[in-house]
Amino acid sequence: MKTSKRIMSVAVIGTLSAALCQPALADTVRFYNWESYTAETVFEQFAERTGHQVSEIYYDEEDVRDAVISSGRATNYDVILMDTFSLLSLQNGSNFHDTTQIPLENRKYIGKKWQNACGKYGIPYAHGTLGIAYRDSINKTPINSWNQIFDPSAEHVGKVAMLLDSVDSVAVALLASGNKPFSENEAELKDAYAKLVAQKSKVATYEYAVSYAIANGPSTDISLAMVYSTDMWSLMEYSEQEDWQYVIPDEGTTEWVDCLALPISHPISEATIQFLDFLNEPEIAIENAEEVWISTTNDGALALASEDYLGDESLFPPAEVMAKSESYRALSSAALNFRKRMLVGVANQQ
Amino acid sequence: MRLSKRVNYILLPIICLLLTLSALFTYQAIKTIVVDNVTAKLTNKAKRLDSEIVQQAHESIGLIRLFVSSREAIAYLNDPESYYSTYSHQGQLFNNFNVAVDTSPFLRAITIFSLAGESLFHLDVNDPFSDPAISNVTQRYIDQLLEAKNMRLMLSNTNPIYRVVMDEQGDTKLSVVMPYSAAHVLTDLKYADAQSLFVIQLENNATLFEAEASSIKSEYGDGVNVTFETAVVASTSDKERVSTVDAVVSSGISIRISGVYGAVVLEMSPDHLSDLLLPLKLATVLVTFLLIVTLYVALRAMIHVQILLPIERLVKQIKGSHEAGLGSDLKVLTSEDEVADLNNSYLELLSHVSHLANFDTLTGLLNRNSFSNALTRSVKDAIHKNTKAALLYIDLDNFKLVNDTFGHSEGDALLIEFGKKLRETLRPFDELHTMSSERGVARLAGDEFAILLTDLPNAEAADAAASRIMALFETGFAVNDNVHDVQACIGITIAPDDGTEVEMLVRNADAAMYSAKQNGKNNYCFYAQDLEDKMQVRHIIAAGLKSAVDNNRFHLFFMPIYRCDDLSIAGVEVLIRTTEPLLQGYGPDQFISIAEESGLIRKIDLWVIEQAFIAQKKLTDLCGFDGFFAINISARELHNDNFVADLTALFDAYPIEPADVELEITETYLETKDSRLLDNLHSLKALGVRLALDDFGTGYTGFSQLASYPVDIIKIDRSFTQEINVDVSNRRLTVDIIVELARLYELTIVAEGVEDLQQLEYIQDLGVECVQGFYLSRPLTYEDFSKLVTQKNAEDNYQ
Repeated sequence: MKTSKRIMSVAVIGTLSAALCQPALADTVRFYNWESYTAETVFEQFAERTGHQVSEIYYDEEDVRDAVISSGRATNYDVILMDTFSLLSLQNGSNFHDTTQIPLENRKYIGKKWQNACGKYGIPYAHGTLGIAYRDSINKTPINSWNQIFDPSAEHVGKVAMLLDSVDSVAVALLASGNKPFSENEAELKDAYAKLVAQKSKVATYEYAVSYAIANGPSTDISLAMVYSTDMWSLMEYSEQEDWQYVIPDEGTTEWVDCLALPISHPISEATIQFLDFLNEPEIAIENAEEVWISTTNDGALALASEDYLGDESLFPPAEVMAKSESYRALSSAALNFRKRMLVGVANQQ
Repeated sequence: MRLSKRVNYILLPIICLLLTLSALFTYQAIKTIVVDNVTAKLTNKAKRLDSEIVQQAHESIGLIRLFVSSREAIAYLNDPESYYSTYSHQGQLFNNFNVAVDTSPFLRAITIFSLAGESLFHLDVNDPFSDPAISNVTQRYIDQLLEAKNMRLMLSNTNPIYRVVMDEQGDTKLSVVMPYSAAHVLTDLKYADAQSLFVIQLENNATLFEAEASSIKSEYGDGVNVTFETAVVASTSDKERVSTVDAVVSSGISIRISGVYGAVVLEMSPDHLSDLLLPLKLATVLVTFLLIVTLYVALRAMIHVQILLPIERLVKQIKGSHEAGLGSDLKVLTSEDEVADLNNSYLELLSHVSHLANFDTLTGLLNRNSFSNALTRSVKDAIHKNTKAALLYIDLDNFKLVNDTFGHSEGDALLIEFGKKLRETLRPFDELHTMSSERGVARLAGDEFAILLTDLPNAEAADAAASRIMALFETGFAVNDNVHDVQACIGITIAPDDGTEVEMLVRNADAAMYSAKQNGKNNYCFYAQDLEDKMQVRHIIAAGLKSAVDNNRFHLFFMPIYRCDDLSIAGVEVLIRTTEPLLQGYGPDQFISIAEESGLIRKIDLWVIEQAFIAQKKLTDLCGFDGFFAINISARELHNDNFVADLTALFDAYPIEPADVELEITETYLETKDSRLLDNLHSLKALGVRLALDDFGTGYTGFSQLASYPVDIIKIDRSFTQEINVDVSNRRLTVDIIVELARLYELTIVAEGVEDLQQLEYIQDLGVECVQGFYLSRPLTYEDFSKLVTQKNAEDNYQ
């Protein structure tokens, strides 16, 4: 009897100790993200290292993501990939945790510029520009203006993929008319609206080009698209069309920064912190960046980058192009209101 | 008017009238159906419009309720000003509304007003940049809320208000006004205060009715008008709503459905209704017209073929047959219809008329006309074939007696029987020689008959035929139960010998017949040339007689009658003589018989009697004559009912004793047993005159007749007196027999025609009372006779 009791107690203590000694139980990090924006290998390595799983849920429209967040549905996610504009806008509703308090060992590697852009409530992830992607084999006229996506040349008519974003789509429409992408001028906005409305009949899909490519694979039949700079690789990868080219039109572009935000609806899990840290390990960061071909916000990663990577102009546009780009800034309610209405109008356009 | 025309005039109006009436009724019936149908369709459409309104209203209200109940709406309305609201909630509200618009495309603009009239949220999907505008309805509602003494009560009715308006272009739109509070539950607003209350205004696209209106337009064009009457806005529960349907059909159609929202009115203009009915009208007219024409043509044709044509054909045949020869083209029809009836009746009529025309109705024999035709034909035939034809002309003697005694029905029966007998007797001949016996036998008139025999080689057949006819009368002619003493006299002419013209043949046959009559009754006689002469003679005598009577050219001769025993003058027979030139050469025996035929005898007889009375008186007065006067009278007087009266009148006129008068009647005329004759004889006798049978022995007076006749005297005919000279050793002389007969009947006897002594002596020996004859005296003039009387008286006085 005493022996079994002893064994029992040893077993219990042993299990408890094991439990206590173990790091936190295997957890799942639910990551609300663009598709093909983070490499699978990152998740695999993370799981290997920590035992935590990362469950990725996609979105392909920022407005939808925002609606999820503002409607309280963000409680389903641990990490959400946000652009700075949306992040800051939504933070007005106090939707996110303050990330400055999170103990991240690899925070030091993150570029200052990018951290400033993300502010308190986001950890930088990537940055980039807005531009026009086109298939070289189909394109006949050199693309150098945003107007060419609003009024595509014959070879692209019916093969245009356009974003319908209340900020980004309006921005490029404003740029097309030579206006500032974040203009609040009603006349300019109306002009942009007109462009968007006129474009509708030539648009094949308002689905994001990359999602479209993922859905249609080699039978992807678009040849001109408004895209984010970091999407070129995905586009080519999934469409199996090697001839996609990225160009920033002469009118200029916007420079965006993507951050990782943590919904306020529940406490930050240990796994989430570990994930954030993991992503910012320079080796991981650069591996990820070069895998999915995004412009990393991790300076430490840049130091480890390949020449190919650093030489890609879509990722790292020349200075003169960047001179014509504008960073995102907050809009007034009225301007935002107007932009939202513009989208309603375009959507309801027959 | 001809039948065919009449048919037209009758048929067409009737057909037109009937078919038009029928068309009118049919049209009315169909029109009613059509109008009902259209009314039903329009009612359906109106009902659809009505339900579209209600549907859209309810859908809109449902969507608004969902819309404002969403988290975004509540969050937004609780904080409409902030950037965050603009960024997230408003954008989401836009999306929500847009999505609603996808499924309910009538949604257009939603605006949320505060009670102060401020717009907190506004989206017009047709124009995203438009400014919010507060409608009258909304303003009125807000005013009501603010003015309401008891807002709680007003808000306890959570039914939204909806209103439908139709503008001039016919565009109809729905708008909804609903109270709302972000601080309260949608279904319980009654405690909400002015601060927390909002009014939601939904304005829909003016596409209400669009589909239905275009469907109506495409079907009816401008013929149907859709109007909408907006109700005075009142918030009632649609659950209690009762839509009433009013359909009014007068010259146009009006459908009205009224509901909570007002009324939908569908009106079909009278013009359009007429247009709808126009095809029906046209079809009716066309069909009626075609029917009229077809029916008219068909009926007309049928009438023509079935009725008019047969009639016309019949008429043509009849007309044709008139020319060709009666009834020659017409045949009996067997089709058992009216036309056949007509045809057959006409044929019967023709036959009957033909029969009437050609046959004697009483006896059924040929009549004079057709006999004449037959005679003409057979004469031609005889000439052509070199054969003979015989005409037998038959006269019935004593036929008049039958009529007078037994009546006309008996007389007719006799004629019919004779006709039959004639046919029967001739049948064997006719089979061989003539056409059918009917055709050969005719009744020409009264008691005159004729027979035609044709294809004869000679006259023998005629002779034989005549004999056979004679044979019919051998024992008198039996009719019914009576036997009549009728005989026939036949005159026969042979064609072409005795003539080739019908008239000549008939005349000659008549002469022959008269000759036969002359030769005694029941006789036949062939025509001979001398008959012609005899006919002539007759005519002359007849004329002479007339002349003599008219000119008083008769005079008397006197033939003394002697007593046989002493040859004194017992009496005198007066004889008529004439100075008439025409009658010169003809004796009384010739012209008396002709006078009897013409009836002139009565005048003559009475003249004779009167003259005799005058003479008798003179002789008595002047010469002392005391004998009797024997006056010959015609036996016809015995049939003359006036004779006795006339005689009586004469006796009254002249002082003559009837006992001194002796009336002589020739025996031969008294052959028939005639009660009238007997009666007259008795009447005469009753006058007191004496009656004598003249030329006795030449007739066939039977013993019983002798007994029944009230005669006193028998005058033996001269032929028997002549017989005395003839040696008849093996038998007794007829004169003896007569004398014995007369003795038997106690009759006085006078012998006539004594011409020599032998005869005289014989007569005297017989013991006959009186005697006369040329031996004793010839007929004397009055002067001569009066001299003789005077002389004889003188002689008697001497003795």
